[in-house]
Amino acid sequence: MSFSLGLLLIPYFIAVGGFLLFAALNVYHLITYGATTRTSFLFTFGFLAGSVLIAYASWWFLHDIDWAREITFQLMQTGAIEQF
Amino acid sequence: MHIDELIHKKPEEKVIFYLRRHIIVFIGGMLLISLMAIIPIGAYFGVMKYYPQLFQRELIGPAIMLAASAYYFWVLLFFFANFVDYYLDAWVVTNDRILNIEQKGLFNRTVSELDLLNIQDITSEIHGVFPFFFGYGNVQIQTAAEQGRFVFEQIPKPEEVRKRLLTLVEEEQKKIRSVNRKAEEIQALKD
Repeated sequence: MSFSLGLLLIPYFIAVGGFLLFAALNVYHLITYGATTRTSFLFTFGFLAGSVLIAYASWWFLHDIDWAREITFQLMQTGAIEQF
Repeated sequence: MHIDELIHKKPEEKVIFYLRRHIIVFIGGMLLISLMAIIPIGAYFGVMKYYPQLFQRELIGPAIMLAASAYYFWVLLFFFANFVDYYLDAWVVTNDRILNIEQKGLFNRTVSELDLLNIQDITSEIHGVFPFFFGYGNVQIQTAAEQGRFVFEQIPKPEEVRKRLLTLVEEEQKKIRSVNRKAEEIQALKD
């Protein structure tokens, strides 16, 4: 049995998409309900800076992986886990 | 927060005070989220010490890195959502009414108000070890209407808030009584 390593990116991008959606909703709430103060600005800035930092760290760790590579393994066989 | 815009202030209405939950409640949530952020780092060092080849596996390595990346995005989101939830929950007390602005999650927001004249009874309570040491608790406001109680949750100095509310209610009642008396006097003069 084999599959492309890039398949792992699908759930990852779904999770990141969910993150972006909820992040936008939170920022929208702060702006809509008039919470445009220095405190809310600082927290929003910290949140955005943290997001950029995580995105950069993720890219740094993941950029040299060949996502097109095929992973082959056999289920129900001794050593299948080791094969991963 | 721009309170005046938020509460649509009446012409002669003054904001007396403005309350949020005690800061320690917010810090408690943040500590829990910080713990969520630290645990995988500890696990990473544990794995690196006892099973360093795990990250070299052609499937497990990238899968762990992707999971860690998504996990930290979401931990950061919880951190921010906790702030938004804390920051958008507020109670505004004016010389005329009390407003309860409550944000529950992302999709539920309740704004309710109570006229000071409808207040029948005010109770403050501090329950538990943390509330006792940090001086926060609830203030329950009983009204005449069937809508039940209005609760200021986990606010700092609940006893002081109760006293100030009682003073405001008394002042409002006095004002109404004097207006009624004047109206009666005018009516008597007309008669």
